[in-house]
Amino acid sequence: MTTTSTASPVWLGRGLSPAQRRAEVTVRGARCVARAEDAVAGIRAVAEATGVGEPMPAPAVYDLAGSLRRVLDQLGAVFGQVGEGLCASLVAPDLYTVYEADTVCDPSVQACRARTQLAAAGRYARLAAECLDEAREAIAGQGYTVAPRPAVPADGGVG
Amino acid sequence: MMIHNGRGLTAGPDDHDDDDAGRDGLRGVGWPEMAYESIRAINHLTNTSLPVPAPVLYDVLGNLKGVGYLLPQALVQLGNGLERSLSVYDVYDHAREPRVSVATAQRLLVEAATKARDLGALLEEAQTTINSQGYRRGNPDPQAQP
Repeated sequence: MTTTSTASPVWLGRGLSPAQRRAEVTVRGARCVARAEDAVAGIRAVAEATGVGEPMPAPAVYDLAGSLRRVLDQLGAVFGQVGEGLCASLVAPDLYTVYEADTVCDPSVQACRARTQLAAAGRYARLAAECLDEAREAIAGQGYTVAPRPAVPADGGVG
Repeated sequence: MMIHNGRGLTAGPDDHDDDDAGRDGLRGVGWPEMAYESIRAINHLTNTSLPVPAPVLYDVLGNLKGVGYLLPQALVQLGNGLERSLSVYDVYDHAREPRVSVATAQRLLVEAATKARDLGALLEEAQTTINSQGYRRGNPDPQAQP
């Protein structure tokens, strides 16, 4: 005899009811938005700190470019995932029904278009990361010593 | 380590807090590390079979597209700061003339900035694509649907 399971989909080893899944989606969504705010705050601080006109020696640029490269790596992965998540939202009728306020548009067409745009954004993130790798390589052999201050005369420059 | 507004620019702690530890887990890490950990957390939060509804994604992209404007600015400034270092420090280079290495790095940083700008433009486009999409609560009982 063939039976059809009516249980909720299993997620993280547990079967969640639609209400629980809906709550999980809401909580995770709010966390994502908060973390995106933090991410931009981090990059804004880097932009502010590097914009004060101070010299940046190669070892510092090397480290900072390395950190920003890791940020771009993660971004590349995120864009692909959220694009898939968006498309998954179209086929979750037990959770919600998607609509377009602009009735001319089809939700699935718009979601696919957004997924494509996000995938392209991910490619640009990876390309930017590659440029940072090459930039780091270019200055990998560079170091510095603090330039000696001009000699002060024995009389302290007086008279 | 360079410090800006109480956080470092070029280093962070070696141990990372769990993604679900919340924003308090970011206390004490450097700015770039904070950005990295935040995006890593988004990665973790969305790496499930759960859907990401358009309004949520719209808000996430609304923030992340800022990276497309701020990162290019930072990268160009980084290149300018590197160039300035040649006249302030006694710079040596094991590979070639320091000025040549700096010019190459500067060109690549500008190139990375251009790519990051394109990335930001695409995020803005994606945001526009889904800006009229919303959702209503689905009926948990499929048999009750018409």
